[in-house]
Amino acid sequence: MGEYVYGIIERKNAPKNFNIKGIEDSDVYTINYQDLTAVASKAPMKEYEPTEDATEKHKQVSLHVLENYTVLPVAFGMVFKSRGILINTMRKVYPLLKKNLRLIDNKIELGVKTILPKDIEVFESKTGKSKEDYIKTCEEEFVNNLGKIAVQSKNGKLFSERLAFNKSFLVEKDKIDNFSAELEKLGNKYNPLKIQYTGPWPAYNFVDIKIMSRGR
Amino acid sequence: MVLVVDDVLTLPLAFAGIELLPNYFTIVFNALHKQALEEMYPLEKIQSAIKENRMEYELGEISKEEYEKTSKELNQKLSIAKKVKEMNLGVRTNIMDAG
Repeated sequence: MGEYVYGIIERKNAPKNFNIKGIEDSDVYTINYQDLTAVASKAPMKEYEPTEDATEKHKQVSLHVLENYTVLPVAFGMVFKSRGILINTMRKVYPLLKKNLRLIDNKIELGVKTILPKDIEVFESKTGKSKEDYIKTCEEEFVNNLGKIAVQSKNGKLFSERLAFNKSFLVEKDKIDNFSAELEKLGNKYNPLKIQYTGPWPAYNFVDIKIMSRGR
Repeated sequence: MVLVVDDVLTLPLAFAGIELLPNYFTIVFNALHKQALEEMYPLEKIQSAIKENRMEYELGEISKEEYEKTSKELNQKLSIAKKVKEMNLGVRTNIMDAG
């Protein structure tokens, strides 16, 4: 069995075990290296398909840990052959882990998707603007207003023609309410759009550490 | 899709005195077949459609039953698309095994 990793947190005050089940219904515990600790559970060494159930499990563990800690997120499906290999990897990338943890310390990620109605012709006649013009105006205002509250933002993939934009924001934990209030205002102003607001998430889109493991 | 591979393809090589490998046509055909399959099962488009289906469900635009039905179909297509992508032209792969 390998060590499936969900994320890295500061070791200080971290428990030995978390009260939640992980991938393959295994117990979730911590594996320490210096002042950091990996949140992990026992799992077979294999290529993990990102099925809805499996990704949901990964997400639930990450969110559970996020409630009390700043989590340096690890991508879905990262499994190490042994505890020793995991600790050795943490040792090799330790400075990078510390740097990224500092960057996201006390911050979380919030997702904002703005979605056009199904019937674009009706939408354009109601708003009196072309879809492109409407998106441009609205995107500018969203980025400007939300960007003042957030630390950083990133563009996500436009996986649907109905997506006006898809953005992730890195926000300090104590500014979540401000961010939500501002988003609500914008949502009311641009109400022909549907808004999908998600989070708080670990800062998946704001850390970029590539660690080679099985199949990677 | 109908593919016609006839002798015309071999003529320049025959005149040049090059002996064709026995599996030449198999390789050409497999490459064309793979390309056709990639067009039938475009990986990125299927991945996007999975996300779009989820988005419509979360917005309450489709029912749980509709979501699950579409999700199942798309995941089957995704399995095939992944197999097509990994398809080794030198080896026969049963792509319909997926999902």
